[in-house]
Amino acid sequence: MGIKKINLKQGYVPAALWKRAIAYIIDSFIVTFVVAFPLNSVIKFEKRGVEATYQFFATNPGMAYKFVLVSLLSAFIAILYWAILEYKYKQSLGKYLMKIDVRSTLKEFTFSQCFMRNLSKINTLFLAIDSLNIFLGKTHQRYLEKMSKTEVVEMGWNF
Amino acid sequence: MELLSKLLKIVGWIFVLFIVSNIIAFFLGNNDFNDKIVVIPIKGPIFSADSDSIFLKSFSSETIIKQLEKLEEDSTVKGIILEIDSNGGTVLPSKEIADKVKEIEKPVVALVKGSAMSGAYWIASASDKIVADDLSLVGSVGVLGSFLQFKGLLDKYDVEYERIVGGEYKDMASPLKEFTDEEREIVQERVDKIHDYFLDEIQENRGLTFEQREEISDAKFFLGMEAKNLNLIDEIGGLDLAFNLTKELANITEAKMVRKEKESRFFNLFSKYSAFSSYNIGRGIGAEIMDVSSKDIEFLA
Repeated sequence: MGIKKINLKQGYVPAALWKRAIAYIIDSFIVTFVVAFPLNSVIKFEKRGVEATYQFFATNPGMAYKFVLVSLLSAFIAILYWAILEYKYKQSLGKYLMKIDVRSTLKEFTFSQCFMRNLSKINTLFLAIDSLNIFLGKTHQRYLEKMSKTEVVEMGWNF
Repeated sequence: MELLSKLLKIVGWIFVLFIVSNIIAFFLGNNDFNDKIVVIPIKGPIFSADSDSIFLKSFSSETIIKQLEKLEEDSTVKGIILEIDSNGGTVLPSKEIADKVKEIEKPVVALVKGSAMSGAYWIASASDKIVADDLSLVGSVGVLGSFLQFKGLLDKYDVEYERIVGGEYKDMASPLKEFTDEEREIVQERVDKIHDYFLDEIQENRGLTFEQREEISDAKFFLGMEAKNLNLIDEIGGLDLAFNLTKELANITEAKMVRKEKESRFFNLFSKYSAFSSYNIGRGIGAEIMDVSSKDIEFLA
């Protein structure tokens, strides 16, 4: 077992990456199949090639509008899931099960911080880009976590 | 205990978000993005069996009827557009397709791209609406029973046709012997009957007046703009109009358009072509000429 790096200055242990990954998978599952499921059901859309999709939207401009609207609302609900739970309880269901939580590096912990740190979760590609800093940076934070002055830490390791 | 209470609160919030999501979904309505309007191309000659070659791509009644049956069963298909560009084909396959089109309960709109003449127009007339371009060619409601006569050629090369038949008219339309007046009368009578039947069908399908029927009975073809005045088509336009009309007939506001292209994989084409060539090499070119049975008379519509 590796030795945990403890941020003695702040008194918190950054959450293990595997725990964060599993927590994200659990939360994604909840968002996809519970929270945003009714919204996603509104747009039963068969995935086809680029050309077919283009032809579909070109011949159905009204549907293109609804598709974009539903996608945006679905993304908003997904962000709300993480933002509300992290703001109220410092944990989403995935983080709760993995025993990790979110804290602010500032004195106060606001809803806007929680909302901002989860913006990239609307798309896996955005999240992957956002997460690059975990590997490239020194603080184990995603870019949006740095910007929102938040971090994910192990529960019960605060000094 | 504190952890359990926290878990319950988290689950409670998940439930709240689920309800919110449901309420939004309710107001947005159920938009089934899988509703389809399927476009079936009917291009080239219409025969009873497929005949794909490098030079000619025909459409068979068998293939089209199978496609229509599948679409009829598919609940996501709300309407069908027949994209027609054909000068017709043999009588029976055209009639078979037209009968099937009439049978279908889902809306069918014919879109004339280029031409819908003769048997192809028969099919178009069976649909609920016909859309054609100003300059499309429509009509030619007539029957063709003509064939080549080689008797003079055979005489020139001193080739004689030995006539051995069981039944006086068995080789009636053989290109190797003279076509008698009596035989011509018999064939003409059949052609006229088919023509009358064809005209009756078009008159019924399109609700033509007696005058309109007379106007088309000489098998003239018309431009789209003329055809509209004769009630041979409903609207002047293209694919967009046909699509909107189909949606209107299907009573839906949104649908996606799906094109049903005929499968023409290279391997299939190659194997069919080789089989066909081998068969004909085996038979010899002469066999094609010597096949004199009167069953080979084909009436074209």
